[in-house]
Amino acid sequence: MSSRARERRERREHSSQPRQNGPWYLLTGLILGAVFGLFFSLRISPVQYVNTTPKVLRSADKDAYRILVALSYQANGDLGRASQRLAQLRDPAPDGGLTDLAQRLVTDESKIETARAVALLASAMVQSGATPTSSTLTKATAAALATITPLVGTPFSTLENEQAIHTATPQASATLPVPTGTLQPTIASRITVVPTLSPPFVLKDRLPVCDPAVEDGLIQVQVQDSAGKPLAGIKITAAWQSGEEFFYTGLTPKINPGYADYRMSEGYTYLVTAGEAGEQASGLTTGRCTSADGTTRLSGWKLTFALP
Amino acid sequence: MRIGRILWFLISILTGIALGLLYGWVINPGVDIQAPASTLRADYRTDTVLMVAEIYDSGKDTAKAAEQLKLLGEEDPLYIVQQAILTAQDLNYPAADVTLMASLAQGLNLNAANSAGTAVP
Repeated sequence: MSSRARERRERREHSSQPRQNGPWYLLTGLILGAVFGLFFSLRISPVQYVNTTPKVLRSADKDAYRILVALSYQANGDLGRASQRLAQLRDPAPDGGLTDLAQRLVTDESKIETARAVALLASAMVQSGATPTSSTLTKATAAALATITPLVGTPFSTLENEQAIHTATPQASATLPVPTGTLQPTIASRITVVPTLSPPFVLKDRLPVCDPAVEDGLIQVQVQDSAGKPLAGIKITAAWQSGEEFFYTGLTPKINPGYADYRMSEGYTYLVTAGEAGEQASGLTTGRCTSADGTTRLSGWKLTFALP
Repeated sequence: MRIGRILWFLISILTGIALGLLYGWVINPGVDIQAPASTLRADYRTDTVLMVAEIYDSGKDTAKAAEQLKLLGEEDPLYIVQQAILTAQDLNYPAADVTLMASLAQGLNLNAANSAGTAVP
């Protein structure tokens, strides 16, 4: 047999035997399939959500939900119910979420009133110590309702589980008529009156500040009632020769619900008023000062306004 | 033998697809869940409508209420409130709450009627 014929025979034999390449083709198929499966399930046909909870809402809708909670709190003054509603968002710090939102809203002049409502709710929650845990909320609601002697809290049931909202609403009696659009007189008794035109505040204290722990050129305003309790939602006006700006207390409830601050610019003289027609703190300027640690800073002011 | 390899290759592809779908639809469907408020469960929708009704009750601003109800979808605001009232009744909401929602529905209905009245001379 010639070498050529032998070569041909060997090649034939070799081609008739299965190649021992291992199971790599299986792995290739698995990867190809997995890639297609992932692409299809995450991009082409992602899961459509139905029956969701506020916790999984997109951030814009969460903000809209928070605003509704704040406005409804402003309308009915029911902190227990507002806390429970906010708890549905499962925020680690509900008041922090509200404060952030208020600070974003306050930059838009058309949303000042909304920002004020949100800030009021944030400071009310901080003052009451409301937390998102259901047990605390239940206690808060119970405590709120306990202060209204003739009213009875009635929880409403849920669709299917305990995840749904249980809030309490006062009822005058168990035999209220079928809805007629008539206002329930019991609601009015729970309304927390928030003055829109605040009474005249007097300037109780005015101190220059040159503190390394405080931002440069800051006017720190504290507003209190006659008993020294911080007041949130009070309009503060900072005016200078050519203009004015206003802001509200309560936007930073972590510091103090009655606290607000404003950053001065060098070369300007400011006049600060709390409320609509209160006493004015005038001649507020900023300049270089040496703080206790020896650093040069821009001085600020600490103002305390209070009801007489 | 070749047919067997093709068969196993197809089976491995199908297995991969199944694993991919299982991951994307079941195991980790919401890597970044950003659900709109229109997908809220009925009881949460009802509570949202109740919030709008509470706000409406203090100012009787129908246009604002209708705007706020848009959060729950593009349906007619009156329809949204009516659905919420039905759910509230199913869930035994306190009568005071149902009354508030009924008042809102009345306001929206009146507003719609007025709009229809002005549209037709």
